[in-house]
Parts: sequence; C-alpha cells; structure tokens
Amino acid sequence: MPTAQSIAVPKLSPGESSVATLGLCATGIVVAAIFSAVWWADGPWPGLAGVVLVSLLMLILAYRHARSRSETLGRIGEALLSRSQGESEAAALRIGGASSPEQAAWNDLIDRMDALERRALVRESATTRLEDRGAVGQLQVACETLPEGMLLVNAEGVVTYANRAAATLLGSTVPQVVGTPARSVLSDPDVAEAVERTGVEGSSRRMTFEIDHTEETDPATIRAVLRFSVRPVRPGDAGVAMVIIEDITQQRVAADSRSSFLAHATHELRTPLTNIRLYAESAIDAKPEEAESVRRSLNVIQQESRRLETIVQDMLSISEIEAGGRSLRIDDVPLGAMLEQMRLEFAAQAEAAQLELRLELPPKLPPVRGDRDKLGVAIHNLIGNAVKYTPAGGAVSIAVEHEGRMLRVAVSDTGIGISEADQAKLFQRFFRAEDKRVRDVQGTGLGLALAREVVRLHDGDIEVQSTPGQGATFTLEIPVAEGAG
Amino acid sequence: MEIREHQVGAVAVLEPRGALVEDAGALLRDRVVDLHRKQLGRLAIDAGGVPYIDSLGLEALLDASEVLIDSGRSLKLCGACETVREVLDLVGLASVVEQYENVQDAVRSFL
Repeated sequence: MPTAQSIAVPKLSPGESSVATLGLCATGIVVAAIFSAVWWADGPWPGLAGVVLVSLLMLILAYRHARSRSETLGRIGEALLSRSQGESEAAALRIGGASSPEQAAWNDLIDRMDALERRALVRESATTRLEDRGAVGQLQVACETLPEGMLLVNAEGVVTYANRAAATLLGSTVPQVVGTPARSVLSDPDVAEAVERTGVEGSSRRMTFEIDHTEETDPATIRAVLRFSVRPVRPGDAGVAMVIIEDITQQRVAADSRSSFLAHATHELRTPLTNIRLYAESAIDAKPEEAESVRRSLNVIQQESRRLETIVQDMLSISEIEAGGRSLRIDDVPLGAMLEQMRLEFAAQAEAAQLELRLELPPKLPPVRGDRDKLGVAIHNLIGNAVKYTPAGGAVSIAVEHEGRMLRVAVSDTGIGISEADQAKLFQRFFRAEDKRVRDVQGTGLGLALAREVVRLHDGDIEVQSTPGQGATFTLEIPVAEGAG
Repeated sequence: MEIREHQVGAVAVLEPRGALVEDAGALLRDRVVDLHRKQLGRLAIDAGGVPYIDSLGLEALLDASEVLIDSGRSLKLCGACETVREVLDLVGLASVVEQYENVQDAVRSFL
C-alpha cells in the first residue's frame, strides 16, 4: 500500500472542462460575428441567417463536447466508488472509451498508484524476508551460545552443523567437526549408529546415551559424563538427525556424592546404634549377680552414645557450612596459646601411644582473625589424626610459620602415610582409606572434611603432602589479623 | 600473583591471591584458557582473595569470558569483594560475568 508517498497527479484543473466548453462557445460567437460582418454588406437577412447557422453549429459542438466530458467524469466517479469499496486492480479502475484529457489523467493516476502499490509490496516482501533472515540469524546466535552441544547429521552420516559447545564437548573445533563423518566425531559406536540410523530411517524415537569418559585406570583424569540425545529434526522425517550433547558430569558427581553420603551416614550411625541396642538388651537380661557385666554394657552404651553425638555434630557442622551458614564469631585468635593448650590436651594420649609430641612456636606470633571455636575444631582434628595414625615409637610435630599475611600451621607425623590416590579423596566426607591400619582405628571420616570447610571459611586452606610409609604433613594456612602482618 | 586450583565435585576452582593488576590478569587468563578445554568449561574463579582490579585485569577477565562464551559457557566469579563488584558494574562487565556469593553457589550452577 502506498504510504507516505506523494503521487504526481496529471495537471487538470477542476474547471478546465467548463472553460473549454465556454471557449468553444466564445469561438463560435466570434466566428459568427465575422460571418455576419462579411454577409451584412450584401443585406441584413443573409448575414443574420449565417450568424444563426454558425451559432447553432457551435452550440451543437459545445453540447457534444460537454456530454462527452460529463460521461468521462461519470465513469471516473464510478471508478472512485469502486476504489472506495476495496477494488484495487488497476485494470478494473482504468476507464476506456473515447480519449479525453480527464480520462488520460485518471488512467495515468491509476497507473502511478498501481506502480507505487507494487513497489510497496516488493518493499514489504523484502522487509519480511529480512525480518525472517533476522530471525534465522537470532536463532543461529541462540544455537551458538547454547551450553548444550548441538550437531546436525545428514542422511550420509556427515555432520552439517555443530555449535561451539558441541565442538568443545567433543574435544575439537567447529571447522574440524563440520563436514566430517559423524562416526569419526562421536567416539562411542552406539551413539554413532543411532545417529546414522536416525538420519536414514527418520525414527521419531528419542534415543539417549550417557557416556562416562572417566579413565578408571588414571584417577588424575578429569571426569566427563556426556549425555547424547539423538532424534530427527522433524519427528518421523528421515534426512537430518539432531544430536544434543549435555555435560552432566556435575549432576553425576552430585548424585554419587549424595548416595555415598547416605550410605556412609547410614553405616556410621547404624554401627553405634546396633552396639547400643545389643548392650542394652544384655544389661536388661543380666541377672542380679552379674553387676560387673551390666557395668561393662553401660560403659559401651555411653561410649557409643558419645560417638553418635560426635558424628551427628560433625555432620551438622559440615552441612551448616556447606549451606552457607557463615555464623562465625570473629575475633583475634592467639594461635600460639591455642596450640599450647592442645599440646597439653594431647600429651596424655601421645604418651599412652608412645609418641613424641613436639610444638615449635616462633618467638613472636601475630593473632589470626577468626572463629576461635571453629578453628580449634579444625586444628584439633589435624593433631588428633596424626596421633591416631602414627604407630608407637613415632613422632608428631606441630610447627608454625609466619610469612607475609599468612600463617601456616604444619602438623607432621611419622605414620603410615597416604597414597596419592587417597590424597585426592582425603577431604571428602566419610572417606576412609581401605588400608587395614586405618580401618583398625575408630573414625568417622568427617574430621578432615570439616577441618577444610572451616579453614576455607576463614579464607585459608589445608594441603597435604605424604609418601606412603613415611608419614604425612598437613599444612593449614590462614590469614593473620589485619595490621598484625 | 599466586593462583591456586582445586576441584569441587566436577568443577575446577581457580583462586587468585592478590590484586588483579598488570601481568597478573594475563596469568589468570592463561590459566582459564588452559583449564577450560581440560574441564570442558566447568570452572569458576574464586575472587575472594582479589582486593582490587585494574584495566588490564578487567581486560583479562573479558578475554577469559570470551574464551568460555565461545564454548557455550560463561565466566563464573564467586566471592568477589565490593570493590571488585563495583568496578565490574561500572565498566559493564557485570552483565558478562556470572557472579555468585560463594564457591558452593557457583558449583551448584553447573547442576
């Protein structure tokens, strides 16, 4: 539709038709006057007859001229009415018959309007195409920025499209993937076969594969679990298969962690509970003269209750920290005094285990900024582990070093050491090494997890260095109080 | 600048310690570029130890962000102090970088 376009209308003023008619009449009168002047010289009657004759002739001509124009104007009026009623076809609006300036002007006007409408239609169509292209462009950008990988594979089994996530998840680049047979891009034969089958047969069924790329033989390998969903682009339509690749590694790790936590928690809670139940039954069934047996049972019940309490407390502490419960009671903590206190607390246990317990403090030690109780729990767990897992005759030493804004507490032992594989899992909740020497010592596997969470909450960290059979060193690093460094 | 690295679940967490200025930014960017392929983009930056950041540091963050965006991921920054957050906001980087309160939240975003 013509919008803000100006239309060049042919020049034909509204009064032009009547002016032309009047002009014709005037011309006739002038001609009659000339004839009468010439004929008047021969007498009045012949001249008068000539004037009347010419005037009549002129009047007839003027009438015919006016009628012709009024017919044209009538047809223009009809055409205008049709136009107002929605007729837009130029052929229907044009007027035919005898040629007149009005007819020519009207037809010219209709032709120009028609041309404008056609241009507008072409422009509209081009705009629509551009908009469509814009939408396609946006769609492509959306596909490119998807965190999920997307591949399109044709019936010949060749990748025709790959977004950047797909290339990254397949350990490649987009140019390397596009144009390559899907079978060589998708390492898993089941996925490759499903893609090829979908491309050829057009099965509308979505097929899903979860492929674990973790190298079991190499624990250092970063785990990657990818989910491949294969389906045709249009359900039931053969030709192009679409493969969506999702990285579900973190979901799998989280699910495994939850299952493992539940299994460990159940096991850890069930063991003391079973003991409590059994010894309670034993105490109940004891005869009056078996007072000693009852006392032993009650002792076990008390120990197991404490163990349960510790497990539940540790689990709650870890959960609280992990849930973002940063309820730290921050204060300046004199670490030297705290370590000295702990040395005294562990002295009896170390002596009973025939261990040497050493504490090496620098002459001047700045305070750290933190939660005294929580830091105490973390350091207590480190020293407690060292004492528990060091055989008789060994040594446990606690050394403190101040460097820059950080303070390091290193707890070293001459114990059984920790393998490299176990070091990677050491701070996981409920992790306990399979080594019999570890299993023989009572523990929940929560102490180190809790210690690291606490230290990280203080913007610090814990690291471990160990060689199996040669002991281990746990280094806790924590920032000193501001202005104290 | 010291940049530590540790895994939380399947996510690698980079912990830069110190101001992200001058060459430190490039160091961090290189670590991100190096890690993103190995990790398939599952990484986060724990900015808790970064007290402030200059234009080179911002540029490095932008570079790192582009590398991750190119693989359909985005840069996840957690624990940034108010100064760093304000700078990111001022230069318009806040809309490019995903920001989280702490590491756990950043890791959870991969679920």
